[in-house]
Amino acid sequence: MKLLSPVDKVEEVERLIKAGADEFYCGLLTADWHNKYIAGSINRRPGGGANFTTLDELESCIKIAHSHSLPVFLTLNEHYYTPKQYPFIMDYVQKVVSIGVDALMVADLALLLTLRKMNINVKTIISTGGNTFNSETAQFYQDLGASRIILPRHLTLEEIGDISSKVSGVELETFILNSRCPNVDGLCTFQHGLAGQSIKPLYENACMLPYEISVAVHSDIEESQLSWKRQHIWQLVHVDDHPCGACALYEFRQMNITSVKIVGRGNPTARKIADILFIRSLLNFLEEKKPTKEQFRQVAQKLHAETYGCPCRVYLCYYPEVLVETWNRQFSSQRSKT
Amino acid sequence: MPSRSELQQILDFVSENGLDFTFVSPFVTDKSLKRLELLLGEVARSRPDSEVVFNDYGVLRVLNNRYTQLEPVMGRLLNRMKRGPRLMMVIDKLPETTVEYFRSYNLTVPALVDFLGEHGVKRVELDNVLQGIDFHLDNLTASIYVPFAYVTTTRFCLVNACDVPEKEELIGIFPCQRECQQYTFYLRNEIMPVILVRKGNTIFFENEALPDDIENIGITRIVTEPEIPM
Repeated sequence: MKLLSPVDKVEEVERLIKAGADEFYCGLLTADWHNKYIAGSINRRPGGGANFTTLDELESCIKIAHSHSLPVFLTLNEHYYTPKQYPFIMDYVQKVVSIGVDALMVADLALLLTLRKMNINVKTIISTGGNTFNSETAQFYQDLGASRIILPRHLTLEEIGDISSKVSGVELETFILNSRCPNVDGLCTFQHGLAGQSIKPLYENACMLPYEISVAVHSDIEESQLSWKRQHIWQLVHVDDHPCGACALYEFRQMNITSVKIVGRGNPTARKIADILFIRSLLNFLEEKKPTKEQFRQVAQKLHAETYGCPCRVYLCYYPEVLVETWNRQFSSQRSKT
Repeated sequence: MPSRSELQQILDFVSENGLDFTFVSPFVTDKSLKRLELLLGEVARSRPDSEVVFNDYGVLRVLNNRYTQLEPVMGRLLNRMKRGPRLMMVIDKLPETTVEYFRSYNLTVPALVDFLGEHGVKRVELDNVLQGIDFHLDNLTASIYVPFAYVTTTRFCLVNACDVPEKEELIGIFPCQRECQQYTFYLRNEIMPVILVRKGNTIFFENEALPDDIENIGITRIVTEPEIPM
């Protein structure tokens, strides 16, 4: 199983490799696109800081990664591009392919079909925005030449297992750390930021805004108070406070998942390194010590607390059925002792 | 998704009343796809002239491979025009090229038009977005939903167990108890020019004002929603 890391600065590439990254993904947002489209992203991250801003930077990153035989994938994963954007997009694709990008991560079916039609010689990875919720969709994309599919966040381990057992000949990738979107990424039509950081209500993701919530008329006042309280959890779910799915590495190994993805374009380098070290330690532990599921969960949760200075939180767990399983077992054990 | 008996009742009703029938399908996991196929089979047997709206490319693949008599329609979840209402607070300040982007979509990209044609798709669904629609469809016709426009959806349903205290922070994919039949939530923030409505696992807003030039866009059908669709 490989570890896919975000990268957005040339000076961090070597450090991320040393920490244990096996593959990289990144974005390129040039001034000419940004000036024309501002809030219309080229790769789901419209702001600065999350992207390389020149072709030279991207090329430098690729050279370093390739010197270590590691691939670099480029995000071109906005949900759609309009016909007027295609001349820019195709010129952009030609340029990034010529400097050695190993694959394009795409979500727009129209773009995927256009790349095929024009025989562009680059691998395509289907972004989570491709909404591969079942094995038929996986085969749909496989029919169109995809070499890898990134599965959506909103799948249970059992559902991921269903897909992996029915699909062969295409790599599967799952999320493992950070940015646990409350909504289905590929079906969400909220914009990722409409202004700079100085205008917070327009800068922040719409899913993280504080909302005044009311509920339609119903019969039980006490129940409605609980329901109001729960709706505010939405603002916390996405909070970039280390949402984590590390416990599921155990199952992913058994399912032959090709790669696990750390989200984090735009994160400080120190944070990226901590994330890589955390997941790398667990991957090494899995490979070398071949622990039981329970042993692995205990080590993963302990290491999470040590790395991030906080225990696992169920609302930040990528695969909370894992935590619920652990808690139910602990609760039963405590009950049987009393 | 309806049960088989519910579907049969609907099929009987439309037949008795001489109505055309469109079956709208959701995005599905492998487990749900098995259930969906049973329903598609019923539709294909009883009303082979029906349309099936697909919101999942896997479902399109199933229709093309196993239910070729049914007419596929591309659903509004697969139309990912930006719908976030916040856009209306800044649209006057954005460059023209950006506004054009938000009013346009990819349905006129030649490779996609060819693909849809080759796979039997002649109709697509649109939402009544606040910023307006500015493209003209060739070789396709469109339906537009009024008045509830879909914005986003989740499988981490916040309505699930919303009245169970010990599950307050438990956010994940858990069996649906259909709490949404009892609760509808309204979300307000001053940066949003309209109220967001959460019904079940999906957020909508309401927009009754149709585009002026629906015929020029290629819209030939209006899908009216007498209540929030759940």
